[in-house]
Amino acid sequence: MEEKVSLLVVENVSKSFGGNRVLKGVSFSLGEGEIIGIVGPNGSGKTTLLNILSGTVRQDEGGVFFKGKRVDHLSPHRRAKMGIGRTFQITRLFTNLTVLENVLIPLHYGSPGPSGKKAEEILDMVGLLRMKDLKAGSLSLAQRKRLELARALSLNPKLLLLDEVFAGLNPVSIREILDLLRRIHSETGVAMVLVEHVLKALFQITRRVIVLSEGRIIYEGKPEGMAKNQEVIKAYLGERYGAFRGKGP
Amino acid sequence: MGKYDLLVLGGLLALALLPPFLTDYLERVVTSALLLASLALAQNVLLGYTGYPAFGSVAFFGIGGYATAVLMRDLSLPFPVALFGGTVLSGVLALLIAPPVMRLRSHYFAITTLALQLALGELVANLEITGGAQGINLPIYRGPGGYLLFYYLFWALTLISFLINAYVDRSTFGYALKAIREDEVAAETLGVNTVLFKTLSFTLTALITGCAGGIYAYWITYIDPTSMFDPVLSVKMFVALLVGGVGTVSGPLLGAFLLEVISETLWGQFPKVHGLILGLLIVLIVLIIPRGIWRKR
Amino acid sequence: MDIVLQLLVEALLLGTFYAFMSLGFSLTWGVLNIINLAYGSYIILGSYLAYTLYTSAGLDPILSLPISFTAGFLLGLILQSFLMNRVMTLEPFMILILTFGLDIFIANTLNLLFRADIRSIDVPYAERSHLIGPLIITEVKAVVFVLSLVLTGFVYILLHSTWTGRAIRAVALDREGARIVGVSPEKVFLITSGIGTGIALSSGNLYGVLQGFTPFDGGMLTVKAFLVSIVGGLGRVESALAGGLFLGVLEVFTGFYLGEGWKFFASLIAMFLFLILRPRGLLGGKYYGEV
Repeated sequence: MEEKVSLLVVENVSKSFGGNRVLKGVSFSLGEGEIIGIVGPNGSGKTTLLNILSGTVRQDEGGVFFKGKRVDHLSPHRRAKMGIGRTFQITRLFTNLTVLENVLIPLHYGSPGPSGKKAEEILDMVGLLRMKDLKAGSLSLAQRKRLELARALSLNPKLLLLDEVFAGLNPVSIREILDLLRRIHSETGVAMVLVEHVLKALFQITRRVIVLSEGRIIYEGKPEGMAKNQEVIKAYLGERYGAFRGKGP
Repeated sequence: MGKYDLLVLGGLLALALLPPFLTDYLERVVTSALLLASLALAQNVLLGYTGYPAFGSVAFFGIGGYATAVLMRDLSLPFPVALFGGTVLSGVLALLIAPPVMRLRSHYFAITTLALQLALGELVANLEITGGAQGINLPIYRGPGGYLLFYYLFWALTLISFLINAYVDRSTFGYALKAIREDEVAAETLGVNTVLFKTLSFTLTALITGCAGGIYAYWITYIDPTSMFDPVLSVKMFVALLVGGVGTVSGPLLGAFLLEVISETLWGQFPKVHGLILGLLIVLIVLIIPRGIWRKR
Repeated sequence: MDIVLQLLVEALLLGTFYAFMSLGFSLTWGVLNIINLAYGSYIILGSYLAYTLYTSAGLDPILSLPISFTAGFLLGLILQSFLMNRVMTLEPFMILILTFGLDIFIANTLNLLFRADIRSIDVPYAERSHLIGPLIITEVKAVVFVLSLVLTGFVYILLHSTWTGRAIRAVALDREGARIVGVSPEKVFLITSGIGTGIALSSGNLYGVLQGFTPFDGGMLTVKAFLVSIVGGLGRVESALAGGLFLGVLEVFTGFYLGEGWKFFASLIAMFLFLILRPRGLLGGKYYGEV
């Protein structure tokens, strides 16, 4: 059997916060240029998983492998330099710095190769070139998301981790971001992991989805299969009532 | 450097020509202002650009001063060498404690550094080598220029600190610091080695502060724990920053001069209630300055 | 061995005082999220108040405890309504600077009024000692111990068995949640500020009989209150007792084995280490706010 070295391998990752087991034995892999969605009810551990992949949080058990190398002991900035970029659920821009400066920083510190011209190219790609001298804090939500994408792109990444990139956007903006993501994918071939709630948008960009529930993967496969899977249905519908059943301390 | 900053730099350079026109008293006032300015400028690198308020950075002032004093008294080293030693010691201590201490958030970081400062003051008050509560007498400078030497020493230190701030303000190094200030978590995920840059920033601040302490010790020739590890000096430094503008190049310098002038006036006019008014002033300034330490150009 | 026992008892007596003394600081921190660097000067203010009442009216500082508490309570209310409520929206660091300025103001005012000589409240029982078994117990220390324990008990009962107390704890846990169930956080802030300052001033009475004081002792006392809070963990009254005992043991043993001059140094190093290694303290609970 031909073993292709996957770009990203997550092997049996578990994580607890206090007494709370947030992730239990999560495993999956992603090849170069592949796009995968991670969905699940609130509290299923999606953002934690993303944090573990980017290095913001350390896992308790298991391993994360990127380009064949073990990375789970590396700090976020080293992973960034290796080519892992991410965005945040609530944007974390350098609000008092300009749009251009926001991009210059990862260009200088996170990516190989010279900066300068490249910054303007990236801003142009996400459609923010005109605003390069504006303070990042003055941007609209959709513009902020695009700037976060631009920053992550500045790392010249092989892997993009997107945390609810569609959250809070109106349908027009969602479509714009979708187009942007497709463009980025076709021009750079970057692999993507999208943690998402906005399933309609997600399913327009990926054919592969993982469903997390209470820290475990309960489904992996095509989006269509989700609606037919008993466990998935239970996870989503059950969750609506579960909030009132005194779960947790 | 912006036009405004260039103007201020010009003013700073002009101060070098001022002494012939100053009385002894005024010379002392300007020297004190330059001391405060160099401290505020040093602090600006750590707070204004990196976003870490080191309430206890006077710890390094004390270390610089005491190290210089001990080296001069016990090893009979000449002042320049002793000053160098004091500065280096401050830097080394900063390098050592920055990684663990800078894992703390803003006000906890502030309080931890304050605890360190007070602890060093206590340590120095209990050790024989540092003269205990009695302090240390340094040899008196009897060389050319008299007190003018210290005027120019602090002037040079202020100039260096000013230029360092100007560099940080526009350089790529400065961008790393600003990124940390704006959002440390994001900065880390964008390739900035936050531990490294925080440590560098902290050490840079400590070096300048330590050097100021060394010069100060030689200037006033007698040091003791209370004067060298004085928390009131910490607060004065931050108030100077607040008044002048945190995170700007010229702000700390202007704020320091303004505060020193106010302080001197108070001390001169109302010696008895000086401390009282200072306290009141601090409260009022904090209430009036909008958005406190994050106000930027 | 006897010495160790003696020291432990001393630590218990002193530690309990420290626990009570620090309650106000811990409450203000936990409920209002304000680290008040002027807290120590409140204590000294109380000492001077008790001193004045004693020297001019012969009123025993134990008897003037209610007066100090009331004065403190009113002071707390005034400061909260006119000063602190504006401050609460500022960044924590700015609050530190402001309260430090307040501390300088109070200390210097006291200095102006009383000058810097060391005062103490020389009650007749300050010198009397009793021999209990192998232990020598100074009467004044015992009195302070009992009072501290009782007053701490009052605070505990207040917090756990009264509506006010429940309101305070609710606001500490979740301000908006408390508001939703009808508790007014603003009122709670006022009351907490009053109680906290009241505790500070009344512990000043006790402090004044225990030892001599000057207008500038506030800073050191703030550090001790901070240490007690951080070691015990911002949390329940039990946390303060744990922290107080820790400080008591630290001070008494350091003072005996290393010398008086090293006591404060030891406290500061302990504070430094706890902040770096274990900011939630020994018992840290999620009761009030968060560390």
